[in-house]
Amino acid sequence: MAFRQGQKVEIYRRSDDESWEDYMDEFIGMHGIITDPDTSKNDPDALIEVSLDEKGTHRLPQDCLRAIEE
Amino acid sequence: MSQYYLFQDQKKCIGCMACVVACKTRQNLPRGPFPSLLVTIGPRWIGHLPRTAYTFMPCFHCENPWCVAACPTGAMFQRAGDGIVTVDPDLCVGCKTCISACPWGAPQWNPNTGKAVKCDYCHDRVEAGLAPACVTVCPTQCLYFGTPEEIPEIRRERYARARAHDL
Amino acid sequence: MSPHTCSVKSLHEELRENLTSGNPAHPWCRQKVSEIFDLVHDVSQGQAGEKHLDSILYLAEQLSEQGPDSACRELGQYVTVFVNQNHEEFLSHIRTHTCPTGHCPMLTPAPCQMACPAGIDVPSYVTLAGQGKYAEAISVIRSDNPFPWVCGLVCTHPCEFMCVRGRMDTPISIMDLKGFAAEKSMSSRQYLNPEPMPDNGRRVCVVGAGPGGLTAAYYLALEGYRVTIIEALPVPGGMMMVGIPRFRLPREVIDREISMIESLGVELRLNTRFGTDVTLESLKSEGFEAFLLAVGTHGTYKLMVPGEDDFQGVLPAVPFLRRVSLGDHRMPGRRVAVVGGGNVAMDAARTSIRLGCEEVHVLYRRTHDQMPAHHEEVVEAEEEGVQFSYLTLPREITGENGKVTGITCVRTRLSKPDENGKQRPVPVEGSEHVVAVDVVIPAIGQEVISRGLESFDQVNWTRRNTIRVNTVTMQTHQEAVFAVGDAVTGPATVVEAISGGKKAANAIHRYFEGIAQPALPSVPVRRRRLEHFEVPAALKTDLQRPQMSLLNNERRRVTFQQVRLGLDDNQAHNESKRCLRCDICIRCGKCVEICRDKMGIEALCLGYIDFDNPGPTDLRITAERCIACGACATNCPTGAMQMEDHGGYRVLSLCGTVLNRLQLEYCEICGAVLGPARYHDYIMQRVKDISPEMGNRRVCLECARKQSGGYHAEISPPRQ
Repeated sequence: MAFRQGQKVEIYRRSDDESWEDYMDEFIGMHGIITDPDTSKNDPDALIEVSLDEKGTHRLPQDCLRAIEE
Repeated sequence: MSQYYLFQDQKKCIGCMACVVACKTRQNLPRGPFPSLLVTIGPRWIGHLPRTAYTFMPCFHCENPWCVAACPTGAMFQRAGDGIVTVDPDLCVGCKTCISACPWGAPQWNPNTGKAVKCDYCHDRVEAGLAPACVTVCPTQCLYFGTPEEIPEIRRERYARARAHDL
Repeated sequence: MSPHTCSVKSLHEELRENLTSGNPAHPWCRQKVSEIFDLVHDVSQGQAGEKHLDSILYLAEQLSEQGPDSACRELGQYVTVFVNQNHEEFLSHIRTHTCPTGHCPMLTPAPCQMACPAGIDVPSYVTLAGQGKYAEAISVIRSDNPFPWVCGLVCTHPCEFMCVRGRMDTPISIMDLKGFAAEKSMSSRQYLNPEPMPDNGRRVCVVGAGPGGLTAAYYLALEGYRVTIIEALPVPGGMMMVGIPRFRLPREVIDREISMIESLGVELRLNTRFGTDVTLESLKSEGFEAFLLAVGTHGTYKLMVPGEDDFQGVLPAVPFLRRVSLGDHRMPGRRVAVVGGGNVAMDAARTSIRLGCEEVHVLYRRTHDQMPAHHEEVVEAEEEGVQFSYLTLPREITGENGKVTGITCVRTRLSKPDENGKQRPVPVEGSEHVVAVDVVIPAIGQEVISRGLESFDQVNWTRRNTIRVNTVTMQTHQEAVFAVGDAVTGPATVVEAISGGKKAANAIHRYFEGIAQPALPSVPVRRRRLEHFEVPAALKTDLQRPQMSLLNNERRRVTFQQVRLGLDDNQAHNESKRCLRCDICIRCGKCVEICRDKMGIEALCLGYIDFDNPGPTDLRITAERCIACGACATNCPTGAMQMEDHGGYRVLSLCGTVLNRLQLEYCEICGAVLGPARYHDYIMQRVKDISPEMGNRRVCLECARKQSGGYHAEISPPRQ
């Protein structure tokens, strides 16, 4: 499913995408909020902006994210 | 009542405060708290002479300590074996109820740690067969530490003598 | 030591352990070690000055050279080596009050500051704005973002998503407060540049005058660099100017903030396209030693339907918005179809309304809930009369005599979710219909126009057709060439471009100075450490996020005037009072835990402290239950929770929020402060079984001791 703005997500794994950088490994397991999804067409391949609890805001590929049930 | 008793022979005490200093040093305390205190009474005119008395005020280690009853966290407790009342710093959260509950002001506030601190009869020294720090340093040896039975009968003797003098 | 443990904190703890366990034993050493401990403590609290580090090293040297025993000398040597090894981390604690690992509680930035891509010290400027210190607020913001006014109007405000107050009710209007402070300080001529470093003679060329390029230029100019920006368009501002329409972001706002940057000596060459008007060679021969590519995403994706290239009246959103922004306000046609459901589609549709188009349709292939545009944009578009057709997929653009006459669409339905939970729009057979329009505006995405950049032959590109950089430093694979903004991220936000610009400026400076580049993203810098102001719990709870007034709808449909009219003074000052000051309270939960689990009182109901499972918050309940024992305040690691006696009352406050206020009682003998009656009652209740007669005597512990000492004094022989 496409991510919505304001949705709570978990970074549950390392991404296979080329845009994943080594320092991002530290983010695995962290929770955050989608702050800027792909706002033109919900492209599942687009990099989207996620704000992590205590770890800042980053633009990440979507294959490492999953929504957290509320 | 703890199985120990700390007795001060006030006639011998010169008010040098060595006991107080030793107590604070042993517990590594900052300004403020005095787990044991030498209270100065006087000087007052007794007959034609000014006289001062010094009362050593550690903790009485009551049989039913109010501080223990007041403490909500179980940090203040009475040791099962010897009845010494002491505080476990790991459990103390600094609510100061023990301090307010004690009618004699024995538990004190350590502002550096944010926890209560009090006279524990230096139980680690006692267990090692030594006397509490205050007793050890007293230059006039007016402090005695032991079981209640061992405490010298000084006061009673003195009282008896005074009565005899009055007669 | 794990690489993620703060070295300052670990030295602090090591020394504390040593001291409490009686090491070193020698009094001289002990004195020195406790002095070192105090200095390290200051560093961990962000209260150290430059000389702290020298003093620590000096004391350590004394220990290792004059120590009376080997343990003492070894400890001294250990401290020297440790501090030298972690020199940079100690310096960052001292100079920027930043703990790079986030382990020092006093230096932990608030969640809003962490969330801001530019790392703005939000709590500080929110507090300053609330106190009417607008110029100071702006200088705090501009330490991290040279566009407070622009961002105060159009930021996507990730900070507000992370705002802790949002877990209690609604987030603080962080963005609006920024816009408010910027407007106030600009209009009072207090919006000033900091003093730049002296000219260092080095020249940097920025390609593209958007938010990323301008931000880099600003911070480089402050460092003393000579910066020139090459801009293909006749106006600076990039997508801020030609992408975001004027009714969201007035031109004056952009112009004023850019002119602040220009006044630092940044040169703007407009109407100059890289690769055509200037080349890499020509620029190098002018003396430019470093390049920053910030060209944005000004290309558009095509619909890929028949007829798209055949008729007049197909106007992709990006060139359409650009044309309007540059002043062409002619109506493109009477009836308009905008294809897409994103923010750009909303901007194009709302712009069309303002140009006088009679009918404006937004065609989107999925449902309303899945539309990626921001909610408020959609609502405002609906208010202005934009018509939405959901589950509608364009198939063909049709026309007559070379002009568009309509767009043929099919209805779609969403498929059952696949294994990833994705639902695809599936065309419904036989649902073809024609939407009669004379203009079609595709708004389904943008891309980088890489034409002209070929001369940067070692710059690598991603499969998304964006420039590949190290996102910590914004370095490309070509030496001395950096890149930021949408050209790197794909279409993203203004504040992300600003963040990139700031990182690039830092990296370019390090490149010139030969300083090693950072490996990890930097932690935002706390710019101020402001006192909180006192707010009663009831007011803190009751204040509501302000409703911003909007331009009336008739005006909105005919002009490009700004829709959101801004906060008024009262709204702004009250909004600032709602802030929970998470720069002071780190939400560790110790206070709640102690009050509930240790004291058994449960007077603190702060459900907002948990990110994953926020519970209910009730700031008023404290006044009903709290006995003012102060254990919460004593154990607070940051001083957020405070208990103080003043004016005859004992006051418990959390970051200035007055949670409890109880009248004090005084010692009957000496008049010293005792606790409040409720505290006394609590103790009486607990000791009543062993002390029924203790009753209502109110004596302080000093007097209690003295009295008791008097009873036992043998000042004269006792009488019968």
